[in-house]
Amino acid sequence: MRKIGLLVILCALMAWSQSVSKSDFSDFEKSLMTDKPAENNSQSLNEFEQSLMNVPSEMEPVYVAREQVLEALKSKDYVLVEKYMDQLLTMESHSVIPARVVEKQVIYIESKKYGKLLDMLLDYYHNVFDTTRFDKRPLVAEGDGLDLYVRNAIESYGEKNVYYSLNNEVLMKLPKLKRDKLKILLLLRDAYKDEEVGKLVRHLSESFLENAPNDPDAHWIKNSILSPLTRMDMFEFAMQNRKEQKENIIQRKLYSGGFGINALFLTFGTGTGFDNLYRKDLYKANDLPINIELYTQFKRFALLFELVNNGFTGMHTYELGLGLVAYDSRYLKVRPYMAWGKSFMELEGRKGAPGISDYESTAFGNDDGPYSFTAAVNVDFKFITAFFLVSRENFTSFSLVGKLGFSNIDFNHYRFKGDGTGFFMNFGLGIYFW
Amino acid sequence: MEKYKLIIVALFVILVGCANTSPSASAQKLQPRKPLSPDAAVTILFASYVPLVPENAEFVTTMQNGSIEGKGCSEEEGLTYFQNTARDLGANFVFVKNMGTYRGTFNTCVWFLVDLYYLPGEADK
Repeated sequence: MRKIGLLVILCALMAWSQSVSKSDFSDFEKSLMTDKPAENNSQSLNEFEQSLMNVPSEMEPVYVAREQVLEALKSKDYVLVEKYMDQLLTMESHSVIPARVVEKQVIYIESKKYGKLLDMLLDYYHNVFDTTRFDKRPLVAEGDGLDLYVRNAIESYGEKNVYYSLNNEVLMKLPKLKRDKLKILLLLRDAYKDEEVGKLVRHLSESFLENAPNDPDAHWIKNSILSPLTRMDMFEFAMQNRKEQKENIIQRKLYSGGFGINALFLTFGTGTGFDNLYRKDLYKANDLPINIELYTQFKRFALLFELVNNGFTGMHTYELGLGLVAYDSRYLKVRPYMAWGKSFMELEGRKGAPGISDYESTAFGNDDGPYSFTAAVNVDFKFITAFFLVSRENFTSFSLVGKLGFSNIDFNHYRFKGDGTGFFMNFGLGIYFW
Repeated sequence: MEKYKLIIVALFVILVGCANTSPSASAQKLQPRKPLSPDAAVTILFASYVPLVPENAEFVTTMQNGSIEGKGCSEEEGLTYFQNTARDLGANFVFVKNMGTYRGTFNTCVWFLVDLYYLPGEADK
């Protein structure tokens, strides 16, 4: 009988030792076995008692108050928790930290005092850079039951941000603005550890600022929280930066040079010396549908090639010129120039006119005569100036172009003869890369 | 005919004279900050520890070091590079927002994404 009894005890012992091999304990249980602050461990209790004995006298009431908070938490009397917390926090001074931020956070989360939680976080983040708030080495309460309680609570929240451990029903009782602020401040802790959380905090902050631009914390949220989060990507930053700096860059780049094309559609003009230029009974003059100017600008100087209408129907000049950018600004550019070239008339024989065989519209020039001389001013109204593709320095401008000038032309052709000055105005559209 | 040419040239000269005024005085020039002295204190803050910047911090620029030569490979070299660059750009606060590693020429290097700020109070301390 005795032997059987012994066997049973042995078997039971073996079974027990197998089932409770150390690996079967949770991390927390293991920590209880090895770590000191566990209460059922007599040695660590001694240490704890010793640490209490070493406690400076000003910390004694702090530990008593923390014990009260812990008891209230354990009994789930949350009104009492709030009361004791208030009492505990009055003990804070330059040299004493009665409860650390993480402890306050856990206590307010456990007692579902989310309004208090928000106030605490606001206070903490607002003063996080205030180096004068505490002494260099303040006394911090730690190593007691409340400390352990907080550690266990944090473990129970798991990997996810603590915001997702909040009780939704209680949370919904907070006003929306406070709720949003609380979410921002709780998630903020992980904003730079997890890209997704960072984006979330950014969007939350942006919509908060949209909803409550006059909130007392709005400026702080914008400068301290949102602003660094908006620049997490170098390319995005570069694009954002050039957008912000656009006007500055434009101002810096005025008079800098570039390449432009102007297309001129409308022509008005008058002049002297061309009264009897050609036989109107024999010929009919036609305008080219479009006139063009190409120019490159170096600093203030411009080289150009153009085909302009000289103010009379059918009278055109193609010429090379030199210009000077006299005035350049955000919207307006004035560029006077002088040009030399050859002029021609676009003429069409009238049907049935005597001595005229039917030919199509043809250009006849002053090939033998002297060069035509033009002095004009080109006025660009740059109504759109945009960055050229993804460039951070170069622009594309679209403009309304007006060209105003005089041309001195000497025609000496058997079909038309005249030496005079035409005054012309051409209007069109331009594109300028600079 | 010479008369006409003279008139044209005269008009042209007048036009240039009228139009050639100085550009708008209100034009904003990019104002780079004054560099700080080489021994000025530059604070480094990791966003993973304190995830925000002081409210009065004046933004200077965002930077990232990478595989470009001379920007540091080790963590220490990288941070020193940013401290020196900050001084050159007139900033005294480096906010380290992100970091990671990349394969360098001989070994694995560390890159940082940082914001540089100027804290008005710091310089007086």
